[in-house]
Amino acid sequence: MAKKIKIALVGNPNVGKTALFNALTGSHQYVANWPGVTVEKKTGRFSWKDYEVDVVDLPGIYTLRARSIDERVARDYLIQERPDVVLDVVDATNLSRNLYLTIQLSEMNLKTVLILNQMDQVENMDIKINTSELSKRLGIRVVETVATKGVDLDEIMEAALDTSLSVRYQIYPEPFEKLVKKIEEISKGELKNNGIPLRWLALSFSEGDELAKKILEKGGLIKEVEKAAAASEYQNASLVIARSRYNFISSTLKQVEVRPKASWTVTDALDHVFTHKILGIPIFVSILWMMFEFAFSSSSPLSDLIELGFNALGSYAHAIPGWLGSLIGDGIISGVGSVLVFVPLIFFMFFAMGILEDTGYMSRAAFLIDRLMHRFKLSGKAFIPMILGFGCNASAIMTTRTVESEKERIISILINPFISCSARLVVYAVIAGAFFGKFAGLVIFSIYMVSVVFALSMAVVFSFLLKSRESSPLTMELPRYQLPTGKGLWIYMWSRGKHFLKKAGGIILGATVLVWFLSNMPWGTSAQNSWAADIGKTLAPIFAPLHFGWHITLALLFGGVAKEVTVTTLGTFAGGNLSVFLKTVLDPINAYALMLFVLIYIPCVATQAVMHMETGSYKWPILSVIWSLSSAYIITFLFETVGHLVVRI
Amino acid sequence: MIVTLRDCPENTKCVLVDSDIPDSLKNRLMGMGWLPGKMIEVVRRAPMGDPTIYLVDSTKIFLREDESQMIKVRPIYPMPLAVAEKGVYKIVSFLGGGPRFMERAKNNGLSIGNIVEVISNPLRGKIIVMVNGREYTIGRGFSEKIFVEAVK
Ligand SMILES: Nc1nc2c(ncn2[C@@H]2O[C@H](COP(=O)(O)OP(=O)(O)OP(=O)(O)O)[C@@H](O)[C@H]2O)c(=O)[nH]1
Ligand SMILES: [Mg+2]
Repeated sequence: MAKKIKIALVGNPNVGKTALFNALTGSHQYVANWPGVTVEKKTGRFSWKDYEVDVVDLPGIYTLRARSIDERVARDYLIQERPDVVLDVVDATNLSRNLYLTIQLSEMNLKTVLILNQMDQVENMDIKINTSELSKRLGIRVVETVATKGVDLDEIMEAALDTSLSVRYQIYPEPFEKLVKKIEEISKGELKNNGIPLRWLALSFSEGDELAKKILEKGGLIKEVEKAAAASEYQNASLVIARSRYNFISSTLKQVEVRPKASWTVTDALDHVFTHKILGIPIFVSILWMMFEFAFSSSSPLSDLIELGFNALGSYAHAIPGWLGSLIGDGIISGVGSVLVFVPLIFFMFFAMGILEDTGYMSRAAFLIDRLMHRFKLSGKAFIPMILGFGCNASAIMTTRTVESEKERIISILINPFISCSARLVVYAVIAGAFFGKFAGLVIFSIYMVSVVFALSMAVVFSFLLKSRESSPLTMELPRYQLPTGKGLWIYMWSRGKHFLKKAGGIILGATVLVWFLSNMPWGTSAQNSWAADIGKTLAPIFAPLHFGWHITLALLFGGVAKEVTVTTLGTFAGGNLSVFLKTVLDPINAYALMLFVLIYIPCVATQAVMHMETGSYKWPILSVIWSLSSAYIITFLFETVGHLVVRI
Repeated sequence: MIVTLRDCPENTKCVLVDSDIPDSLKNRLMGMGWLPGKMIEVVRRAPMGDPTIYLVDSTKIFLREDESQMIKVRPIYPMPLAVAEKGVYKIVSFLGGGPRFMERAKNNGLSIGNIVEVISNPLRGKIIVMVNGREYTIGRGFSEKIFVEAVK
């Protein structure tokens, strides 16, 4: 029988917990160089000798006092699930701040192993750490790691199973320690059996923590505890506590750490440029532009190649007689193929985003743009989900968990679908490619501008409707810059792009085959008289004011499932040449209007599901669908009317 | 002089003073090592004047105006004239120093090594100083670039 053991990874944001998790379990969880990447607990498993080890990766926290949802996930896990061992992952270049949480963990009576991560950086920065002395002084095992380069499993597991050391800090002033003992004494009888760590409870209560208060209230002890506190000289002890902890840390570090004198680092130099008063924002805009430019220009030769391939395959397929040839030729190759052509584009787009995320530029961008966001009643934290939305809205919405104010979080969730995701990029690429030739890139960029402006304006509208007063306080850390590793980028690009491939093989294929079937039923008729046409024509009057014919109507209907299906549906009718076909059903103004409509009209099914999950109610996804449908309709209508007027003149 | 963190221009070094910051913010800051007595360096203000990057220990974080206004600090020498209270100082350095800046400094009787007396400093708006027996009015932006030390 294998012995089971449960290990949790805890630590400050952005220290490398997820990197360590990946190294331990061999998985490919999302790692990036900004604080707040992991927002939910992730479980993994590995075996070592005769142990079955469950590992849990948690969101980063600075202290055990949690406010935002991701922080609560971590804190609640520690209190409720009581892991057997906690691996307290710290950034070894910044011990004095990181050890604060270490002390708190030991006060929770959790068995802790200190993981000094980023030891490569320690070496680079010429910092000397006496690990065995640190271990002696803290009374816990200490292991050095470089999580991104793999870890020594034996060393970590031996430390995790070692029970020879035990912590007993005496760091608080004597009279305060008395109060703590007293509170522990009072709560002992009532709460002992709940497994709540009493010392943590007493200290947190003294710090003014709401959760501790609630627990005491539930146990009916709050009156007595408050009386004890009032009788002492520590009505609000948060400062005493913090100071005692830091005094202990700095006296410990004096004995174990030697740091060279602070000097001008590469990060400082880069920040000088990237956060520059005048250059900062132009650089930011150019970086975004470069991302798109890079994705388009490096992917287009590959896309062309794939297209050639599909064209060849298509003509073979059409040679197959009967319905099978039609299904493969029109449905799968002309339909799904029209999306698959853009696989390289999507991958390169994610590659560019991976660079943005792993260099450390992300939080700088948040810094630069925060003032603007503030004007739109959002905070810099809400900005990161917006940028991530360019990749995929569904996963971006998850990261809104770091936004502290609940209303602001709802607003961030609601506006995120208006940020144009990579699935929509496929639609634009097809339409713009067919109609705007040389200017396609510019046209697509303009759609992205519309997307950002529209999302921000909606933020103002929603914050008015929800009566969201002010955005929550913002304290955001700026990590060190680093060069992304090839391996890291590859994993990032692959794990994100993979979803696109899966979608293409799953929901997109399914929807396309369905459309093909509908467009051929009753069997043998032309597309004009098919069931698909019937559906399209029934709904077409709704879209008549927008000058969308029944093909487009049908494409938009199925595109609600996944935006790419808009393209594949049209592809089924195109008979192999999509851009020629598009020109027969749209004029350039219509075409741009269609792009606008696709941008705004409905969050895809996956996004709706995440919205429901993250808000815990159907209200918000439903609101989002109705809202986006009607605003898409209005905006497109206005654009078409004005556009056609202008062109006629 | 005790000022708010917001009043401190770029490159000011100051010491955090115990003050009544709302609990939620205070706890977060403490978790990041912002304790009374810690030295804070004002690193960079954003292009639109807000937020601002601060350095404590070796961690850079940024805060908004709303928060930094609640945080009380005591600037340390050499400090920009912008946060100097009434008193007599010696100019120790200029920040920047293009030809136009030097020209303006000279016109106001300010050069390195000179003694200035701050007559009034309202922290918002212009500062009145006395140099060589003459009074000058100095704009805020300008005063942020002149670093002084106390004269014993
Ligand atoms: N040089 C170096 N970089 C590392 C090491 N471990 C992690 N990193 C980098 O640090 C950054 C953060 O890593 P993550 O694993 O995402 O950090 P995390 O602690 O999970 O962060 P949150 O989920 O935001 O709390 C990434 O850019 C990693 O590549 C290490 O040992 N050395
Ligand atoms: Mg993580």
